[in-house]
Amino acid sequence: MRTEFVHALQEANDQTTIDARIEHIKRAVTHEVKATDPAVTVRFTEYFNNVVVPDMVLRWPEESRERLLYLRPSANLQWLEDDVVSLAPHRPMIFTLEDIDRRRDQEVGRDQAALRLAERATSAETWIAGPSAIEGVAEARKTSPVVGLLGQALIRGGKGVSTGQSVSELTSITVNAFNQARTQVTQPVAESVSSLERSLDEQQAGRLTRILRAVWEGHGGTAAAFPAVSSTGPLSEDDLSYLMITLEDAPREFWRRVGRNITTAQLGRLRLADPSRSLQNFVAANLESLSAKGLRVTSQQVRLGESEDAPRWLIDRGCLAIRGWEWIAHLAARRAEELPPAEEGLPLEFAALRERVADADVLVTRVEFEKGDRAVSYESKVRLDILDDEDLTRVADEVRGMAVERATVSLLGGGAANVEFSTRTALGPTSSTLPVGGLARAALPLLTSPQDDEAAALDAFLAPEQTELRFSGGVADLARGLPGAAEGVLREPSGSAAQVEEVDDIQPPE
Amino acid sequence: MSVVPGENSQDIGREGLYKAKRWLELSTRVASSWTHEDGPLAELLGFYWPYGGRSFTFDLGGIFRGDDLAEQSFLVEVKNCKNEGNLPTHYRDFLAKCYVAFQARPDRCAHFVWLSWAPFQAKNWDVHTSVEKVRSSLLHEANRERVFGVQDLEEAREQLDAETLVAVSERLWLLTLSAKQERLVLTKRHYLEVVKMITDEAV
Repeated sequence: MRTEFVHALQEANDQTTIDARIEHIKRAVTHEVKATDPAVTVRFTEYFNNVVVPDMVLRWPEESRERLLYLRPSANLQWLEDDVVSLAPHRPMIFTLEDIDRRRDQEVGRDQAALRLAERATSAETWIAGPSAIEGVAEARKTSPVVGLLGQALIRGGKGVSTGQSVSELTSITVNAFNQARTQVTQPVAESVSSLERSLDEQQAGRLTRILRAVWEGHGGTAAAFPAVSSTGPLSEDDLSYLMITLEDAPREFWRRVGRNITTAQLGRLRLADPSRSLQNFVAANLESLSAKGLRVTSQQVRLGESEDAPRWLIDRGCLAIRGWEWIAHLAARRAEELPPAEEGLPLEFAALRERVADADVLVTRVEFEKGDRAVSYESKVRLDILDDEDLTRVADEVRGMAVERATVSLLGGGAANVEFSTRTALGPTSSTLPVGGLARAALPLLTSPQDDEAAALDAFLAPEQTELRFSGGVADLARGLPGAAEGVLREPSGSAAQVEEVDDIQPPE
Repeated sequence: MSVVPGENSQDIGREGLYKAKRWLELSTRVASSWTHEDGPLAELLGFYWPYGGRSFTFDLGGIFRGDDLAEQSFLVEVKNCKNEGNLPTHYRDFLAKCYVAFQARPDRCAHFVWLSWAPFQAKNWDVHTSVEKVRSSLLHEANRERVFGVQDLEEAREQLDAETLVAVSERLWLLTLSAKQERLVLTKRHYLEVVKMITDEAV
């Protein structure tokens, strides 16, 4: 029994009026429930310890879910059994103010009665728990996000009878299973699946076993080798939304384990309030494994009531997006059509491009100038930086009125993105998708022109987590350092040697 | 005065207590209730006899709700008996307890409910709740010492508080249940509707 709860009950007993005493008891229980499931909203009825009407209503607005909570001051097994029978249609939670297994007046045949009660409560999907059971998960959740998830699942869909000891066993088994799932050890995972399905209703057990399976598969385990579960299938957006809403305090390592098989498209379908701390940690932890077709920047002032934190990840218009300073960058998971409409913009002056690149860690391998309905492109055949090429500089200087319509940038770790300045869009060529981190690191400095402090914040925001991916000078500097690295092909704007191209929009991939 | 629950009549099984609580609450007119088994609230049912230092408890207590009963407290004595047995003696004790409880904590004594599964002394049923019945019970030799601290009838009579006698008499309920009657409540479906209506209004 948590010390806070003991003190709260003592305080309740000190109240001079009955109403105040009941109010204090309900508030003490509310603290216990919220310590286990912080996302819950608790409402009181005017009833106390009634056989028909609950004392409290637990609600989760984001899930359109509610569960009735009946308070029972004593843990009389016979009375609880009657409660289970009569309250079964509600599938409620029954909270006993005294621990079920530590009753002072041990009744004759109590063990058998306890077994019968547990069986009946399990089949009626009613969860009976005392203060020590709640303590078991409320305390353990502080150090383990998995236990946090388990505690919340119990409040929402627990069944059977939980004591401090049984909850302790369940949390140990569950934590062990999540650890062992990383190395695909079957036995503890199977034991956990069995325990979870015995202790939770189908929906909550399904969620946890799907998450367990996501960790299993995320670490290379095969679906076939995962223990048999009642609820199959990959982690759904609903599961992930639930995880992110309920586990605001989970560390990045947890999100990395869960996120292995999550796609950017799934992220775009999440139902999350902005700002979401979980989403920040999730994307940061999976920045290199998430992929996207491209991104598009549009201007957007901070809206009334919107967080002013920037940059930050959010879900907007069905896309994963980065909220910047007066701009927002939407990421297309698979196809350019997923992006919001482009703003009508202008090509970028060559000098401005060089300025933006100079401040960024970007390698430009191709630029395409445009003037009227004519275009000139200049590129490195070996995908090295070209911006300091003298020939290119000369062309840009000599042909007045030319602006850079498009540029191709190389991404650290492979891949390239075509950047179109007039639409402030960067897309992977043909059907390729790009790592979200690499794409954003390469494209955003060119498309947003951040101030110094903003650029530093963006760098930190998009920094790869693995230290081995960090480098001191940056890929562009490395490339520029190589003599003769860029072999530019200069195409004259006119004449027989020149290759004149009609200007097309960036083609969306198939 | 805080009292540790002590007296727990052997006649009253937990089953009877639960059935009584359940039947009362199925009326939807009981907002809160607690039994002598309900740890954090059991002491609300406990009182001391004025003399002798012993305590007693009622079986059940609570607060009514709605209309004319709103926010009114009650105390219940439950007798799960199949026939009269020694109910008259228990009832006499009950009246003495009501008198003592009302003098100690009138705020917990808006109603005194005697709830049994058998009637007793039916020929006098109409006078069981009379002031005279309350008075005669208190003056019975079994109650004189613990209520008034005297053995002598006249000395006890002199100490009787007439207003309390009337107050107890007015607050008495005699309820006699039967197994069949326990079923005569709303259907389960209607209770679900009632619960939904109430929980929608939870604050």
